[in-house]
Amino acid sequence: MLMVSMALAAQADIARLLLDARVEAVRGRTEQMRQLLETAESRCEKNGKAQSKECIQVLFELSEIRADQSQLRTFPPDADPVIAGEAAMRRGFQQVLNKQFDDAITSFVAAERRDPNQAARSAIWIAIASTRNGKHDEAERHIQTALAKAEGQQATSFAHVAAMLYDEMGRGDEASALRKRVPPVATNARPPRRKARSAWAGESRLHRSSKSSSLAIP
Amino acid sequence: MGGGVSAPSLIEKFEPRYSVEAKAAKYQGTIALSLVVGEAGSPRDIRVLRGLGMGLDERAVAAVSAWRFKPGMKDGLAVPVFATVEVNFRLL
Repeated sequence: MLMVSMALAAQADIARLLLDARVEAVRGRTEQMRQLLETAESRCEKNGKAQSKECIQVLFELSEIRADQSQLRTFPPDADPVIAGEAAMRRGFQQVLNKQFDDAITSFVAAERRDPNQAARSAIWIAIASTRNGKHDEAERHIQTALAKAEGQQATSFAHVAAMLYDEMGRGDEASALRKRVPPVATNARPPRRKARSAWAGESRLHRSSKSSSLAIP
Repeated sequence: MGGGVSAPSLIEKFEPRYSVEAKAAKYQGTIALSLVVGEAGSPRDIRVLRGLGMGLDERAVAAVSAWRFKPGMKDGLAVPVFATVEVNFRLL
C-alpha cells in the first residue's frame, strides 16, 4: 500500500514538473523549462517510470529544446517498445511536415509494429499522409480502421480529423455527417484556407496563429 | 456577478503553442476549460471540459496556467471564483 502511494506521488510530482515546464515555455523562459524537464527526467530515471506517458513526454520535449533529433531515430529491436513506438510516430509527424509522405507512412507502420497500442493513432496518421499524398482510397481504408479502433476521447478527436480529411478530399457531405455523429470538440474544424497553407512553412508564424480568448465567469 | 462578488479580470495572458502533432495534421479547433481564479489571482483546478486531442489540450492547460488575474472581490476581500475559458487554435 505504501509502495503504491509512493509511486502515485512520484507520478504526480513528474506530471507537475512537466506542467510547470510547459508554463515556462509559454512564458518564453526556455532555460527554466529545460531545468524543470531535466529535473523531471532524473525523477523518471530514479523512479523507474520511463514508460509512463509523462516521462515519454519529458523525454521528447527535452530532445525538442536540445534540438537533439537522436530521440527520433529508429530504435534497436530490444529498445523499450513504448518509447520506440512514440519515437516512430514523432518521426512520422516531422516527415508529414516535410511532405515525405511515403517515409511518414513507413514510420507510422513501424510505430504500430513496435507498440500495438498505437494502432488507432497510426491508422489515422496513415490516413492523413495518404490524403495529403492524393491517395484517397488508401486514406479511406485507414480512416475506417482508425474510427473502428479508437476509443473514448480519442474516438471523438479522430472523427473530427477524419471529417477534416473528407473536407480536403472534397467530400463535404460525408464530413458533415461524421461531425454530426460526435460531440463538437472542434467547433471550427475546417480545412485551412489557401492563405493559411502558405503560413505553414514558417514555424514562428504558426505559433502566433494560436489565439486564446473568451473568458466566461458565471 | 451574483452575491456581491466582483468578476476577476485578466491582467496577464500568454498564447498557447501548437503541438508538432497538431501542426503536422493541420488540425484546428476550440478547447473549453474550467478553472478557479484563486485569491492571489492565479488559476487552479484547471480541467478540460471539451478537448481536441493531438497534444493541444495539454498546451491549452499550460498557457492558461500562466495567466494572471485581478481576483474576484467580496466585501473588500479577494475570493476564489469559478470561470470557464475557450482556447482557440487557428491557422493563419
